[in-house]
Amino acid sequence: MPRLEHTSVPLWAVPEGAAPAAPDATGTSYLLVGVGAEGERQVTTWADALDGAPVTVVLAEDQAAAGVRLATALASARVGVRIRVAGPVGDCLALRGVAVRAGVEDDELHLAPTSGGPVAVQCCHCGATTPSEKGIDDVVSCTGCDRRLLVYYHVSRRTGTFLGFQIDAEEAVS
Amino acid sequence: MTGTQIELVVAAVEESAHAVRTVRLVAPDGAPLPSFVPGSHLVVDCGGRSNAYSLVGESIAPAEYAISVLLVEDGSGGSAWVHGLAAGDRVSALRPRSAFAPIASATRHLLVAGGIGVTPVVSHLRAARHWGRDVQVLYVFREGHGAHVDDVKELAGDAAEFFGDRVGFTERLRTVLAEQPLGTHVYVCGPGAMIDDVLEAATEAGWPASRVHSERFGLDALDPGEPFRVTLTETGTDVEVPSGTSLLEALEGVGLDVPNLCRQGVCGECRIPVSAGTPLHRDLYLTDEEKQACDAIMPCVSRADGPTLEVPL
Amino acid sequence: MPPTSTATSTDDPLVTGFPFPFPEDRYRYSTNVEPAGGAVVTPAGQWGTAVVDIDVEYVRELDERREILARDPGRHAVLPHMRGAAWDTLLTLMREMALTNPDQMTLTRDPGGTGDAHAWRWENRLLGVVQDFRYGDDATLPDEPLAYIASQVQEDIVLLDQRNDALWGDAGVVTFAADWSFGFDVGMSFLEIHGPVPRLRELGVITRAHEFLKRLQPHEPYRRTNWTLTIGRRLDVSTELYPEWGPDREMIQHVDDETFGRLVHLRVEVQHLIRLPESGAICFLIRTYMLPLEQLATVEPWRVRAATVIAELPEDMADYKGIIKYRDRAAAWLLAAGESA
Repeated sequence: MPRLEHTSVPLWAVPEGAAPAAPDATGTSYLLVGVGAEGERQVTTWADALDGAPVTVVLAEDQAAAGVRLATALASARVGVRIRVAGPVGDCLALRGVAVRAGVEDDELHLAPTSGGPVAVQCCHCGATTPSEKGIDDVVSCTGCDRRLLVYYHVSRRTGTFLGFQIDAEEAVS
Repeated sequence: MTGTQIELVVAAVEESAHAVRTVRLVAPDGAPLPSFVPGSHLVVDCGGRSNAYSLVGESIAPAEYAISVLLVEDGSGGSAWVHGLAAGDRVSALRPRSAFAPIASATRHLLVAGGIGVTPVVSHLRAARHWGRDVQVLYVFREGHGAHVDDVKELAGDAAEFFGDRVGFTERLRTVLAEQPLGTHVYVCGPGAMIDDVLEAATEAGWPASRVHSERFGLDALDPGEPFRVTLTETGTDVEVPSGTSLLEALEGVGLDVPNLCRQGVCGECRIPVSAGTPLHRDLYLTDEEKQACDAIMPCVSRADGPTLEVPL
Repeated sequence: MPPTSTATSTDDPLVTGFPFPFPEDRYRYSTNVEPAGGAVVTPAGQWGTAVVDIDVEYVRELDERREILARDPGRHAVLPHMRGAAWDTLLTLMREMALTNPDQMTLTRDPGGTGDAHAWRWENRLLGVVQDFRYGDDATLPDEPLAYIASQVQEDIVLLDQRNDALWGDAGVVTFAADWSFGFDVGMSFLEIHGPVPRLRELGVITRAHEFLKRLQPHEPYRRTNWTLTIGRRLDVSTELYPEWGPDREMIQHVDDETFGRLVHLRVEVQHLIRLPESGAICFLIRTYMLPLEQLATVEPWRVRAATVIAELPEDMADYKGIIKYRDRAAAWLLAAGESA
């Protein structure tokens, strides 16, 4: 496998990957998104340090709710905003997808996973999404077509999912 | 530069603003000219020296290439040469080169022009009209010296604001920069100091680098390089490599068969050893260590740092 | 066992026009880009003079593309900001085809003589198409512009938007992918798309290609080739359909020599790299050619070199190309083919 930093997998999305660098503080407004209790804690820490600049906070229990509110906030945001997301790694990937689809640039976005946890795997054959606890190299049973999928080191930034394809297509049929 | 050169004929010249001449160039046979990306410039052979001028006209297989050139009194003479053109004159140029393109994913384009820096902005505005893009223009120029004011008014309507003084412009700029919806990109073209001020204002307003684009006038045209002489030690010949000719072309010119592929400095095929002299590396193939060792060169793009080079060929 | 068929391939246009991909006896990844358009003379004929290549398989491959898109629309994507690039691709490819095939195709500007510089007429007599349209006006075409032009060329098309000092795969029609998924990759950067390929990044091959593409200028197209082996004359070997074609890699190990030579194809992609002149996007055209080993073997220099290259290919490259299970046999088959009559 090529070195991870040469692939589409963000380094912060794997357990052995590097911790994200310090977030950009050159914005003139901030949109802070926290998913779960840990996410809320991180958002509070950030907000306390961002003295003076206008800060919008979005807190949610799950990624779907956070995503809807993030998209709404982005629709009325102005250039100068910086977006920071804190939550379990799978949620960070999904919310990066929301931001990317809304036109947020990479240098306006900071993702800080608060914990590991399941990531979403997209089945290349039927399109269904299946969770994977272990991530890369894991084998999961597709919730859509039942095939055994290998979780590949390839991540879509628009959907926040890992690529999954059938691991045993070439196995000899006895 | 062979291969990318085009021959044009002056169709018309016009004093379009104070000290600004607009020259319309057409193909000698009247055929449509190659399309260009908005914001592109034409590198014109101004009597031996190359100068780059932004194209201001329509960009889709256009009937003409139009440039608006400000006469610069103590410049290198290129603008004076352009101001001396008359209808019927032949002009050599390179095909348009894109270095200041509109960002396709921008949901809004904020165009900031200073003086003759309005020329690529006019090009952007023509494309914006064709593709239905959302634009806003701030154009500052010395009172009475504005080029393409009518064009900007016609293309941008109420979205364009004009300023004759720096103070009014700067104040309005700060307000405008602070109120742009996420998705906007800003483009600035004009004198260097003006660009610096605008970039500083954008940074202060929190704009990330990804959304800020500038084109400085006095751009580097393609640098044809200094002439030098290469000595081929095996055959004992000296070959002159003039400005505008690559080392590879010069070697091929004396019958040497140097393996090559991309002729752009990326593939590595044309690598030859160097036995004396210092290479001026312009390629993307050799590693930093290899470049420092100075014992190899990619002749398709690299030259000599100094008057001579020696290769064991 | 040597092949029993000794049919001469010298007149077969699929042989004479085959873009044999091995310039040397060993193959490694390289930034093998060269200016497009020049004829490449081969022992069997020549290829390379057309940026858009129409051959005897034209109608058949267009039909296949249509079927694939009907079954899986995910192979076609144009992110909203790529509309201009899609139109640019349409006009650029029409112009290319009209230039290279003037007897069958014509592109006329302002056909009505009304002075409208954006009015065009496209005629494709191979398909019986006459289409008037206004450039940039979606309502004047029966289909989205990229889908429209993709339905008339055999090439797969990927469009890359250049921004932020990077290239983004934001539009395309890809129905003949060699083990990748355009539908998954839409929106990824050029470097991300190539992330899974071993060696490319470490060697700097892909970063040099990236730098090269970012500097590409309009009206100066370049090209390169890529290759693999495919079992069966099967164009669509996308990751989506891996459950269908993957088992062939097991099956092929158990067939007789005659079948082996008939089924195993040398698959070559000729890629053209074009800076679209008005939108500034990069257009990647990927044209796929396949020749079964039994026909490849009838061209002696090809037979010998292919055998050498396939045998010598490093394990990790053979594994990534998906040929590790049968490449030794393919090399041996080609060598043995020279020992017959």
